[in-house]
Amino acid sequence: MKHELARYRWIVIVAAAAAVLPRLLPDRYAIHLAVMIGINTIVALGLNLLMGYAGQVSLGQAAFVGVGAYASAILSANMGISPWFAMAAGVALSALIGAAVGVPLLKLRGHYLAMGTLGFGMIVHIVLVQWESLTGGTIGIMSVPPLKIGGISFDSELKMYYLVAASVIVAMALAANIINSRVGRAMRAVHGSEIAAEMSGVDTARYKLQVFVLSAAMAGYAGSLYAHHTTYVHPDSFGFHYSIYLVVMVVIGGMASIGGAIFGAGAVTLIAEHLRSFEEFSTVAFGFILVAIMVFLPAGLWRGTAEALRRLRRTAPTPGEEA
Amino acid sequence: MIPSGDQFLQYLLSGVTLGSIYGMIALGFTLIHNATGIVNFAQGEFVAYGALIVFTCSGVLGLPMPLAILIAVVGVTLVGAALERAAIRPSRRPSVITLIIITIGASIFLRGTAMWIWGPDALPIRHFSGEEPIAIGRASILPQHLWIMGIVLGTMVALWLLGEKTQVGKAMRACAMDREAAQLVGIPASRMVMLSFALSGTLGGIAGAIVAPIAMGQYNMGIMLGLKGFCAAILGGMGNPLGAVLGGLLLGTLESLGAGLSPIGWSGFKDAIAFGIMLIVLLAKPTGLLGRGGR
Amino acid sequence: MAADQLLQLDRATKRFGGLVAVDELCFEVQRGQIKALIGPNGAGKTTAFNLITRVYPLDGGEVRIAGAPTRGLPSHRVAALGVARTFQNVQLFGNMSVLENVMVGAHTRGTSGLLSSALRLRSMRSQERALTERALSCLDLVGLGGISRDTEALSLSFGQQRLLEIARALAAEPQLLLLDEPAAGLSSAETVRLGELVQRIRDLGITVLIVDHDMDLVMQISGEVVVLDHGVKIAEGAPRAVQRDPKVIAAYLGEEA
Repeated sequence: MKHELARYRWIVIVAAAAAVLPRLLPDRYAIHLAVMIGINTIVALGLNLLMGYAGQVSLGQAAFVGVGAYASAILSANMGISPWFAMAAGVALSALIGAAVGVPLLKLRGHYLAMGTLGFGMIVHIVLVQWESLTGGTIGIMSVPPLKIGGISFDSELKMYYLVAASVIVAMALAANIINSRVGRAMRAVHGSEIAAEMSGVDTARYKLQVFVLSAAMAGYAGSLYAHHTTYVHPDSFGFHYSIYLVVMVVIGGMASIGGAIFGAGAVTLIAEHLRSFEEFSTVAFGFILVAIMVFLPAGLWRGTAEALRRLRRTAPTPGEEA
Repeated sequence: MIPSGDQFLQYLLSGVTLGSIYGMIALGFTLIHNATGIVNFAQGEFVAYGALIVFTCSGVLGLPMPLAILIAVVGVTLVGAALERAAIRPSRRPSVITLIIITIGASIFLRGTAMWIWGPDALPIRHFSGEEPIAIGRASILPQHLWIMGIVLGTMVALWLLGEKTQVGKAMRACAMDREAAQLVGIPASRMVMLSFALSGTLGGIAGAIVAPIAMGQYNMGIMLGLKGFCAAILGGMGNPLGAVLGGLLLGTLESLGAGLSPIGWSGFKDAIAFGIMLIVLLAKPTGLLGRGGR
Repeated sequence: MAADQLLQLDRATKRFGGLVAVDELCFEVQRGQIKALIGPNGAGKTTAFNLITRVYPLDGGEVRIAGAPTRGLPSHRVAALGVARTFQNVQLFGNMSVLENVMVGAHTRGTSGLLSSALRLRSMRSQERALTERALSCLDLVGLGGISRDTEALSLSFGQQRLLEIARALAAEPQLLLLDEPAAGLSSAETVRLGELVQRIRDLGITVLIVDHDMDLVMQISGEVVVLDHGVKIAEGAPRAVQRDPKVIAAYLGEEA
């Protein structure tokens, strides 16, 4: 029993921190950043399941975030549909598209899968830019209405913060549950040894697709949150750069680690914000740090440092430390 | 919209020119992939640096164009070698994802450095021999287009000679075919890896130098060029040098024709042509038109 | 009678380009026996295993499990038919613990899916408990009961890793267990214990087909032996008889020449 609940300890810590955090933040802009970190964490959690646990690669995850965001924006702003319904449609659409492209793409492996997902992401971005009648092209879509429950309208940074924080905690719990289950072990087995997984009765193609669709759905949900939070969507928010940032979040945080996903999302979101104001040298530093981490700490900052510390203390490594 | 013969010829000519550039970039990808199995995301940055260094040497320092090109090509070659030395060689536990992120990180680093040095704006570079259009039938091309096609052709010949007639070239080909066997006969595999990165840099640098007058030099010009060069490599068959060139020419032509012939309002989709083709190839025949089994 | 034939290879053939790795191979494995597949290096033994487990598709002939042909089935469906195997080069799930490795082996025995797992429904939780129990008893059976269940799989010694693979294979409660060179790299003491383990497995009602180069092990535990050379069956029968068969001796001597 104690062992079972241990996997939730990180979630409890995050929940406690999240409850306290707004009081520590200086202004609305800081809270907005926290919201963005939360949204990115949700995408990163899904991508982590796909890359870290199931061992697949996606360089086009931003496309699914974009699908969710635009579905929400188009349905609620342009067609007057209720934001919650728009969000549900966004998630469903992301999942559907994930299934449609996942079936052919997941037959590829390694670099080819990476480039396949990259190509998919680029095409979605181009569609978002070019299909002006639907998406508004480079003007984007404005005045996306906020989400509402009963009389409460989630129209301030603080209210969105609590919604997003709750979503993050739920997502972490779901991810932790999945990882330590028959389904999660099957996915991880695909990463560990595909041939042994097949021989253990795991339908590897089906599980790859399931985790791919799940990560797409989570990205779509995050995209919807983004649209209803910033009230404005623009194609360039969901292009190649964002896809790369997402992968960096997962990798820097440390793959196959739920805590790592939050850490990575937080780190990259804050650095990217910083880059916006300091353009030049920060990009250089970002690239340099990225290479350095991948060269010397390929397990990522979160796991890699933990492993290094363990080695220093010379105790036997204990796995299962996710969440 | 049925094109006239002249329009068709025009699109074809610009397509071949564009395709030559794609082919050079694709060849850079293929070289590194053959030697290491890595996809070098920083390949596009080699092209950007080629263009930008030519800008500085020719435009700012006023050096004669041939010297400027030489400096640029040598410079980017060194950048390629440095990339391998600094980022690839020391890496431990290089899984596929790790390597992808390393080269992505390197490309971010190079792009950032380029913006730091040259700023964010597009910079003009002088055409090699003037901008007087040359008539071919009733289509016309710029002298620079001829330079591009000619230099690419010359580079291909030089590469072929390198591979066939020189020790170094043959050693690289041996390493690409079977690394272990090559090491058994005394070929230093790690040096071959560095050479492949350096040579990729050379190709990228040349491509950047010759396309710069038309495309202008800009710190982020490498992103799209690199990606499309990669699409060309996949189309032709990743791992096959001839395939890389053919893939480049084919992609350039298809893109040019697609953009030119598409109905009004659809031309913005021309970038999607390259990625669409790549996806079709990956899903239908991942080894591409001329590909071997690949790694 | 036919139901007693748990595994049947009927003129099974596999070609790689111009090379015929397995050539019209015919043999059966009766329920309840330990049968060995031996032969010099390159005889096609692992290829035969890969044909049975559908890692490779057949180029000719048929493979039948309990009478049902396996043509066209993906490997995981063959596993669902009750076939489990270990690998020549140990294929553990390096990203999981000892216990989790064995639990994956029992994948076909579970049914909980994505939704019930994400929400940790009662049905999923009780399945997990049963799965854990089964995995622990498999670890006990192979002699790894003393290892802490959370140990990383790859931190085990080589001999222990081999045993872990067998535990994983047993978790599926297979009808047929394929062991691909399980003694390779083991000390003689470990090999003796392995032989005893295989016999205990047979006593549990599991049929075993074993490939190995250790002749002492093979002769001691198998009821019947099939000898392959260059993809062709050259002898079949009781261990002693096969050992004395001149064709078999020539095949092995030929290998040393």
